Amino acid sequence: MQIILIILGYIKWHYGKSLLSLTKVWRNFLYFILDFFSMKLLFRNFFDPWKRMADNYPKNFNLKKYLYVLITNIIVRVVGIMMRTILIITGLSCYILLILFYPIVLSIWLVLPFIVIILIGLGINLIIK
Amino acid sequence: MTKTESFLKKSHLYSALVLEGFFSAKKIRIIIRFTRYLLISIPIIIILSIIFSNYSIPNPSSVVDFLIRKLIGLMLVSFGLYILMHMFDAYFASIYYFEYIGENKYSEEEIYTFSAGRILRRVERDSLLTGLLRSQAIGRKIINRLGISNNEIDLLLLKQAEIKNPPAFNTEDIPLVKVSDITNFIYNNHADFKNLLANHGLGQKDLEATVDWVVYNIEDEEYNKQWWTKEKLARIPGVANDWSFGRTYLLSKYSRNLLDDEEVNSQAINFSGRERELEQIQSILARSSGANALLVGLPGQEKLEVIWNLCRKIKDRTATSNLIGKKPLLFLTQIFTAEVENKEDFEEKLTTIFNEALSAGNVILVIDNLPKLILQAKQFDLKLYEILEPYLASQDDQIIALADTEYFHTLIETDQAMMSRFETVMTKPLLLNEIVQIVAREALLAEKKYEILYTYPAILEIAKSAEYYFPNGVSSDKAEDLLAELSPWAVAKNIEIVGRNDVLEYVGEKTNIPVASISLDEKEKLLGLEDLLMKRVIAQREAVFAVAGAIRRNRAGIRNEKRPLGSFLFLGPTGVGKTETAKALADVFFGDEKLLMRLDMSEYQNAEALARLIGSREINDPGILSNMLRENPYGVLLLDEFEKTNKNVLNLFLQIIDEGYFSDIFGKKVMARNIMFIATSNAGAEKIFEIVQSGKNLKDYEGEIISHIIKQDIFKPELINRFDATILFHPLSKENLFDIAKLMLQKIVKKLGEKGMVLTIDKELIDFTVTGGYNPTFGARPMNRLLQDTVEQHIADLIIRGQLNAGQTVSFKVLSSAGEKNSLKPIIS
Repeated sequence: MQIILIILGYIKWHYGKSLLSLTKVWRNFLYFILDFFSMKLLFRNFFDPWKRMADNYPKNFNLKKYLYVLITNIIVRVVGIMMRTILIITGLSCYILLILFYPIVLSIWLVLPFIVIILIGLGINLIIK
Repeated sequence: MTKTESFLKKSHLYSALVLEGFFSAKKIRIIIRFTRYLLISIPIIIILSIIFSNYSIPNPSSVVDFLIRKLIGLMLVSFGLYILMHMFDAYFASIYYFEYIGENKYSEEEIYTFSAGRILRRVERDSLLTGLLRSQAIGRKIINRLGISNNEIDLLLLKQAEIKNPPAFNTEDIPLVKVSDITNFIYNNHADFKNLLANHGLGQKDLEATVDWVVYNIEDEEYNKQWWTKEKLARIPGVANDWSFGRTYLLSKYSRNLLDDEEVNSQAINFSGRERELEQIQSILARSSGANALLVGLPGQEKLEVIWNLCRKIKDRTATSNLIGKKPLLFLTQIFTAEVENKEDFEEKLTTIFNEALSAGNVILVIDNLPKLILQAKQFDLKLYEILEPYLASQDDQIIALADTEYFHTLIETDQAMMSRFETVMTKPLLLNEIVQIVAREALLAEKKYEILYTYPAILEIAKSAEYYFPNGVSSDKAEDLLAELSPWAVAKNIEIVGRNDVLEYVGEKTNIPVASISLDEKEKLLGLEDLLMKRVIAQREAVFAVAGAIRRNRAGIRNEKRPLGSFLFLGPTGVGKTETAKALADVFFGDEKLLMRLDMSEYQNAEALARLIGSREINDPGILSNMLRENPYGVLLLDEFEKTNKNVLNLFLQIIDEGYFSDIFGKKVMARNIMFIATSNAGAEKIFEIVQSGKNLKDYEGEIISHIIKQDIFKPELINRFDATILFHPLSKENLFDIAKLMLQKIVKKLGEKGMVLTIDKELIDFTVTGGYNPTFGARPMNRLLQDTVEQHIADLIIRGQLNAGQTVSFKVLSSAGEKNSLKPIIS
């Protein structure tokens, strides 16, 4: 009697509430990927110089100095853009992978009780025979 | 089906509870470990057996095949079980909701919490108490934490079996039945349980706090397993968090990233009771300009704990949005000020550091010990405010400065400009129950480390003792320190369950204060306190009885803990035993006559008296009384000739006796709750003489004498009323003096005895002492003087001349009663 109760209770959870929990965890991971690769920040500061390393332009006009600062500033910005592009691509790929991963995990989860039954049934069969 | 059972079955949690009956968390863990072991070892065995059967066994028989088939079968079963156990694990994790931590609160459809369900499932015949006592998962944990032994529980369970109609638990009025609902019901309805707790000195509040603690502990363990929650994942730092922010070269040298602190990262370390300060700081830092907070508190960890809480929120992404992703750097003022060489260096480095902090764009600068920085600037003839002004006024800054209360008042509060840039947040001292909560949670960590168990009464005692016996510093810090010292001590003493008495014993060892529960030996001492005191104090029965009573009240734990140990006003003529009573007290009760501190109040008559006692700013001295009580927070303080001091000092003592503490001139608390105050005065002595000489009973005239003193404006009535008791010492009669003289001579006998010499005393010698030394106005005091000049002088002379040696006996022949040295003739035998 109690065994049936347990099994019923469990099955109700497995094909009910657990799916919600699973989705919630999956959503946590999606958030995590965005955070981990600082995506928001990368997009917002896409054109910013690398680690704010830009120099200030000279106050009194001096062509040589002006050009020098201009070139360094362009370089730090280019470095920044390059690094960000690389990270954004990596981050996005992870994100897409994770999205694709969800249906796979979900389907495994749905058949998991059957897998357990089959595994134990087969095993016992092998041992007894 | 019982009522409890049908209630249980209404919830979907019931099947999980039943399942837990078969597969407890511990069993699941064991099965997972075992099957994992099989899953690794079986393939290895199969491969090995194939190799061996091919090479070494000549006839690869069906035996090997058979064996391999069985092994594969075993492996499949193990794998199935392994997956199943993980499914159960996920099941429990998913339905375990949290009452105290995390977001996962109980939803409306639930009718009882999982923990409550665990107790209800063990209930027999609808008696909730049996459920509590039988449930190992939670009930027994609560019982153990209350410090109740298993034997007592077994007895209680036996008793329960006889009860036919246990009190009915009505679940209808409670939307969600929690463990505390069950325990409170039991407490209020099962008299046996209530009595059992009462026998352990516990009440309902203690029970509630223990339940909270145990449930929190279970939840905390559950929560720690769940690494997949949003906050936990958010704690993993991002890769590119600082790519768009500037570097802080010099600042990094003089600062530490608080996000890396152990206190921020450990889930287990939890600082509660700081929400108000945290709220204030967050709202200050959210301002568009001038987001500068000044956090003021007592010296110690307290201020940093608030900041750590803030860092935790930043890390969990639960802080206000403008703080998320920020880097809180603690500017280490101590190191900076130690390394700075001169004025220019100071100015230049500080400017660079603040520039870096500002231009980095993601730094919250936490300045440790701002007053120290101000002082150093002063030394270099600089004004710190002028250096910092542009940054404090800037739009993008977020600065938190920390300051100790004392310096805040003297250095910062007086500086208008500085104050206008900072918003002050005062840390409020934690309440006892908040400290208990902190210690309780901290204790869980210590328990894991040292493999001991703390009971709730022990935790409560730690929190109380920290405040009570260690007067200086922040209460929560002191309590945590005490806990940290206690754990290894308990391990060394082989104590597995740390109870209240163990804490008291440790505190007693550490402070030399006899705080532990009254031992048998001491009990006798306390009961016979009157006799012990009377041996030393002759003929002052009333005084001795009053004092002894007060001490017993204190040791039995029924005194008011917010006042001193005791406070007495001894009134009576000179030399009748007032000082001797105080000395005897220090000796008998505190174990050492040296624990008697003494202030001659006639020295504190002039206008500077108060400053000498509680300190003066001009000479930067905390005062005689402050120093005295800080060095000896426990003992007897004798205030001689109390009436001679001035009004201000009298008012100071009025406050001390009333509140058990005072503040020195620097605003630092000095505790006097472990001091017994004895003020002596011979105010009203003439009146006492009059009454005694006319043959009346002094006790009947107590009121008259006191009103006489008040009328003469010596003491104000409110001061006299503050004392625990006013005790009258009557003048000594000739018989009393005879006893006292005997006692004084015995003291000399004892002193000589230590050197191996013997002094024999006879009635003649005692009479000599009394007649020569009796003086109605000075009481017994002149006798002491007489003995010094005669008996002691003779003996000293003899010893120096070498005429009296160890093993010899000396006695005196009285030649005349003149009371001079020559009146006595020593005889050596």
